[in-house]
Amino acid sequence: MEDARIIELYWQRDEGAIQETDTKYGAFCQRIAMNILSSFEDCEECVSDTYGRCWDTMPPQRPVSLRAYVGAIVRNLSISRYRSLRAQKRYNGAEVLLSELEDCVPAPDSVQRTAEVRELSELISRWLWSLGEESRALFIRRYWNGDSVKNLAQELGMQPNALTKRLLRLRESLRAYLESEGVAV
Amino acid sequence: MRPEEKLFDAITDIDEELVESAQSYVFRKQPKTWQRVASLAACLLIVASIGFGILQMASIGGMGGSDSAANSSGAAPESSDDAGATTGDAGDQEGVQVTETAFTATVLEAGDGYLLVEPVEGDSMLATADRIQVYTKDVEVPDGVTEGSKVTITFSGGVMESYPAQISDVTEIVLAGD
Repeated sequence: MEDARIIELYWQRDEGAIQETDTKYGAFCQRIAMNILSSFEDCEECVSDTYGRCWDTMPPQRPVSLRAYVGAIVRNLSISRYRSLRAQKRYNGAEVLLSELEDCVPAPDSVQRTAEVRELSELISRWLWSLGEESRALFIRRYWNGDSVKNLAQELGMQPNALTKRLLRLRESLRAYLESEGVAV
Repeated sequence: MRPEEKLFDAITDIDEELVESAQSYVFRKQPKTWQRVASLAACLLIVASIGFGILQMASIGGMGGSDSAANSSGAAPESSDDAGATTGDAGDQEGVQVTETAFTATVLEAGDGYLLVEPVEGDSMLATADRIQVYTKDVEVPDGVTEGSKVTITFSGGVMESYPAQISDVTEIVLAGD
């Protein structure tokens, strides 16, 4: 089903929208969550929460790309879960408190994110647009999707070591760009 | 929040269009070393064949010119000697034409002793190759050339149609203005 049609189902409050999202983007979401969490159980929960978040945010949201939209939600949820799992494992008082307080932070897709992170996102986008198509896709597939170096190297037909060097150069280029823009991360 | 976590979060919110295009992007496989060597050998063979063909044609022309003088002898070795001499003359007369070509490209990879570049949209070089490896051992690379930089490259040699393509006799690399 077309993305626009699925989004329309959300707007009509038709629960079939969730089924359609799962059919079309379920595997994509699972891959992203798995790349961050490496745990099937946690990954399942994040994907299921993602559909709930889609239901809560559409309307008012009407994303241009449903794939990018659900991907960003599952990525956010997976990162949050990763942080809370890390805090629990460390049994560190401050980490646990911080992770609990994270629940009070408004959902990134429904309300505003911090201006700092948003500005950083815009700069990264601008830097990505300045790259060649292949480098751009490579950076996004590695650092947005979380695809492994091994898999990407296979797709590119190159040695993982060579790809690691290429990724290092990309990261250095991003750092140089951020420095030139006066951003201190 | 640690700096890298802030970056990790910021990457989540890059333009949707960027994310969408990366998902459908199909990477072109880089040829393996033996494939590069094979394509280089094939190119050399073609160049050698063309060169041999030109020599042959020149020698036929040369023989035609000296036919009236020594036609009936039928001494093949002598004929071929004549042909050799004529070819040499012809080569000298033609001389070597050096033409410089310049194109603007985006740097995809800035490696040690080479740049991998992609000609920019609208540059006629893009019709020849979309990936070009430029060896920079004998030419000065301006400071600040890094991945994503736009450069204008001038060269006087040929384009080897391997993948990525390679160009020879690079005379100048300058940063291109926006």
